[in-house]
Amino acid sequence: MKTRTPILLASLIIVPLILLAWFGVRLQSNQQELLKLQLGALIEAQLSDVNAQMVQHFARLQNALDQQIDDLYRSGNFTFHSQAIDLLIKQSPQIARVFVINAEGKRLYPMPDSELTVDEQRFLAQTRELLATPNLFNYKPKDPTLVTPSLVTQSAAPEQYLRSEPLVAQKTIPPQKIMLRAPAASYSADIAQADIAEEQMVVAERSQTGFDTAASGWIAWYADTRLHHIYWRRNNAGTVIGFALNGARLTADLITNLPTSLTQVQTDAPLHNAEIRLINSGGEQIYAWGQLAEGVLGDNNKPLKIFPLSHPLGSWRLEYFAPGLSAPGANWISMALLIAITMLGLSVIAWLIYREYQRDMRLAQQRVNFVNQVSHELKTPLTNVRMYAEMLEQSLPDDPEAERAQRYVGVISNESQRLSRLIENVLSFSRLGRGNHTITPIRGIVADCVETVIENFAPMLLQRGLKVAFTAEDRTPVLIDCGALEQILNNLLSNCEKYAANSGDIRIHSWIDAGMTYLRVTDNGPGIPKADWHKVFTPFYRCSNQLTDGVTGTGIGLGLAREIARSHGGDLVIEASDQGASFLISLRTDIPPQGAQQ
Amino acid sequence: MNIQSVTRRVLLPLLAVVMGLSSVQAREINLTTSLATPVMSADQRQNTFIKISLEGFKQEHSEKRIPANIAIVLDKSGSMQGEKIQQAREAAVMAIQRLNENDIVSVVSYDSRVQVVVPATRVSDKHQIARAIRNIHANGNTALFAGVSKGAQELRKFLDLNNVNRVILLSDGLANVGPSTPNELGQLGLSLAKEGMSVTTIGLGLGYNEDLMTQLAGYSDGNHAFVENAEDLARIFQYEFGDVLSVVAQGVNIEIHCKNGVRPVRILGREAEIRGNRITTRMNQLYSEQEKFIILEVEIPAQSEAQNLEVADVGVSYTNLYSKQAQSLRNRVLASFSQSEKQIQEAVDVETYEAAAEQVANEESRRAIKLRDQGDIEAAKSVLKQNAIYLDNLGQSLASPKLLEQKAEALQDAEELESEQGWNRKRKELKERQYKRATQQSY
Repeated sequence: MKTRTPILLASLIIVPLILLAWFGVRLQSNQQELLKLQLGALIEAQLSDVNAQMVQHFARLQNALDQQIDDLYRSGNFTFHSQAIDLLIKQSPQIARVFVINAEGKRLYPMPDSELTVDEQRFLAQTRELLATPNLFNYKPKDPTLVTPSLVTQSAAPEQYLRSEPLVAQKTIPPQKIMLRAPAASYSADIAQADIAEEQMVVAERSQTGFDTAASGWIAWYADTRLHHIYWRRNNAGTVIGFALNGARLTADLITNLPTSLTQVQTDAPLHNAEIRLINSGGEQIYAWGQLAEGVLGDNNKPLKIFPLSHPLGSWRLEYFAPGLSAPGANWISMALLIAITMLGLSVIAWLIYREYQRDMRLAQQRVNFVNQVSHELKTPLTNVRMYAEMLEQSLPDDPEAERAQRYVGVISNESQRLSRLIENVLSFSRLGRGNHTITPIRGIVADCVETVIENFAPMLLQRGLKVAFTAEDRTPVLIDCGALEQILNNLLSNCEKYAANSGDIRIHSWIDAGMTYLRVTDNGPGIPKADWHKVFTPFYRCSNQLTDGVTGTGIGLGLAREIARSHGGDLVIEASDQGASFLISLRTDIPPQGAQQ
Repeated sequence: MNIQSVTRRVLLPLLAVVMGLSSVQAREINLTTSLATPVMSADQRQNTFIKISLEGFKQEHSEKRIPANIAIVLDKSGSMQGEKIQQAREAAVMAIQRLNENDIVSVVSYDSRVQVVVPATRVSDKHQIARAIRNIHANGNTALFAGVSKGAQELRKFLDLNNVNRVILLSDGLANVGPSTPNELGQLGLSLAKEGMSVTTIGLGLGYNEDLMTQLAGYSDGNHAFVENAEDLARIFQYEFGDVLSVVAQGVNIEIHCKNGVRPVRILGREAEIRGNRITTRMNQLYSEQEKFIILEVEIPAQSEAQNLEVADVGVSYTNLYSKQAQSLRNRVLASFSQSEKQIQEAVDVETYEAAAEQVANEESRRAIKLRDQGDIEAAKSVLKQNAIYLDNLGQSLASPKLLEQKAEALQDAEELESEQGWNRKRKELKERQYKRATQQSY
């Protein structure tokens, strides 16, 4: 009883805390998930913007190169003059090399019959295979043959990367659809179909320069550990002019298109705690921008997002780096703080409750002690009253004149007996509560004890119209605490007296079976409703119905009787019966050792 | 008599003034072409050298200087921490003091990312620029390529082919973010040169990649310097700015056309394109009173005795920054062929031969580095020793102290080639020296 209260109070604190923590964690993780999604979308948008910027750069470059081609073509009177091309290479920062191939696949520039510079020789050696693949420049648009597969693989080995396509932004539906199949082999079969359908060539309408049905595109291919780019255009005569770009310059231009980082970290600046990296085909970082502080990522620096770039930078990618959502760290702290505060509050409340409870307990204890004291104090005068009443009864002459006095003394004696039973009950109850109620079984005959009780009760029961019929199957002496049995029976019989008045016989039957003594007490009264069976043993409980109304009682009798029976190694239970209440008392009664006295 | 005296007193000075004025207006690059051996032995196939020398005219003190557009690109990677970055900042601040409000300056710093410290701006508030520069603190990696790209972008904002456009790159470490091969940086340099920019590379300390730095400078015709101690940075910056502020001509295209069956073999020291018998090369700029030259080795077919046979035709075109006009020059290289050994010996052009020998030895020195890189120390050493013998022979015969000095250098290099721990430093020193020799850098 004393340890249960603190445990209850502790659980009062812990359970809400656990609930709070659990909800907190759930909420937190949900929020995190949501944030992650939002952040992901945000990053995606940001990276796709960058991608668009890159594509735009290529579009601008394409425009500029188209202009160059037009100029070359027009100034050369609708052919390409090698001197003009020489000059272009010399002057253009973007163009590294130029080639011109006619419809038959014959090279017009660099001129095959003239002497070549070292650079030109190197270029031609590098691109020999490429220039000998007419499908790349879309010579036979209707012919569905694919490019030599050796040229077209994408993912596995970057050394074999090759892709030829127009710019993404320019994939509009042209007046004349021309399919480009070069990159198809690089996709898995089902995706390839969709991709081919999309890869429609743009037809530039430049009737004044002879490029009216011309096609153009970008070839990106991997050689010498670097990605190279060629922009080509084909006029309606089938002549293809191609510009090989200066790779380093292209990279530098892409870099200049991208933002720089700030010298000082500003919290309101974009990317103030993140970094975007441009990664090339070989996985090397080309450029990075943002305001990510050094060492924030720690060892586990995996990008939050990887965004592959569009053609012609097909094998390049953007990587977004940020320390992730470690910001909830602050939330965890506030969460922990909340829990701590709740715990503190609950603890204070629990402590207050506990103190109040202790005070009540003390008060109750004092009352119980007081009752005990009073009972004790009553016991001695009562004994005297009983003793002198009995003495008086005996000394009264046995004549009719004294009959009245005899009757009065009899009442005093009975009532003082009832009072002493009551006091005994109270004292037993408090002893039980303290746990020092002891049973001292001695050699005796159960029936004798029962008969004593019946004898004591008989006058009172008679007054109430009751009669006890006792039958004993066995009269073997056993080890029994007769006082305890008497107290049990006293309680049962006084209940009968109170509740089952004028119901005739009370039957008591006793028997001994396997070291146990059983007594069944049955009356013909109104009985106990089955719903109340387990409650009647609860201390201070009294059945509430018209029957019990107006009947006095302490409410401890049955509970006490059961406790005593239990401490005697038995029990007291209510049994179902046709009429009235039936109690079964069982007591552990060992056979006394042979020859033992008492 | 009277008239004569009047003429003498008035007209002659007047004429002199007019002549002087006209000479100011007509000031142009001085082109000289010469053969190492103007007279060669007849009926014999032989190699000789042609020197094409260009010298910028004098920049007068009184006249307005050509405005400069300079981007200073500073490495602020972690390795620059401490004295290096401090010296670099001070050197940059000091150098900027030499500029005036016609000039444009921008400062870009890079670590693993790139920051534009001072966007391209006219040099009117030097204090503010200095303050921004002094705010640079070292940290992080080395995104050299991106730094140069952004530096060039700053130049582009005010790009004017009549101004001097230059990126000055200072780095002390290996480029470890972004493209980092000498070839890629060379390509970038080439592309920038086509736009009229040049990149000067200053390698600080012993950590940088000298191949990358010389390639970048070489293809864009900038200067290159190896600065071992940060204290020397200020001096180098001063030299560099001195050079930048003395540019008189830009966009110098040189075309050499070999005639009469003469076959070009190689251009020594510089990048050039050889197509058949035509050689084209370019220099980004010419500095005031500085001589830059090209040595072309040619193979001359057997000739019968002849006088003044045309060997090559040299055409030079450039933009004169003072007159803001495109100008061109033309010169012919003539040779004679004789049977007389004495005549041949007497005719030897010592100065030209000396310059050619210097470049030949320089090429050999480069070859030695390549061999040393491949781990063949012995071969590298023997190349340098051969070089010393070659220089000694020519030095003696031409009586050239310059070549003998170079011979001593070659011998010393051969000695120092072996040491493994000293090689890094030595290599940087050699690369710098070769670069300066090949481009006739002024400092």
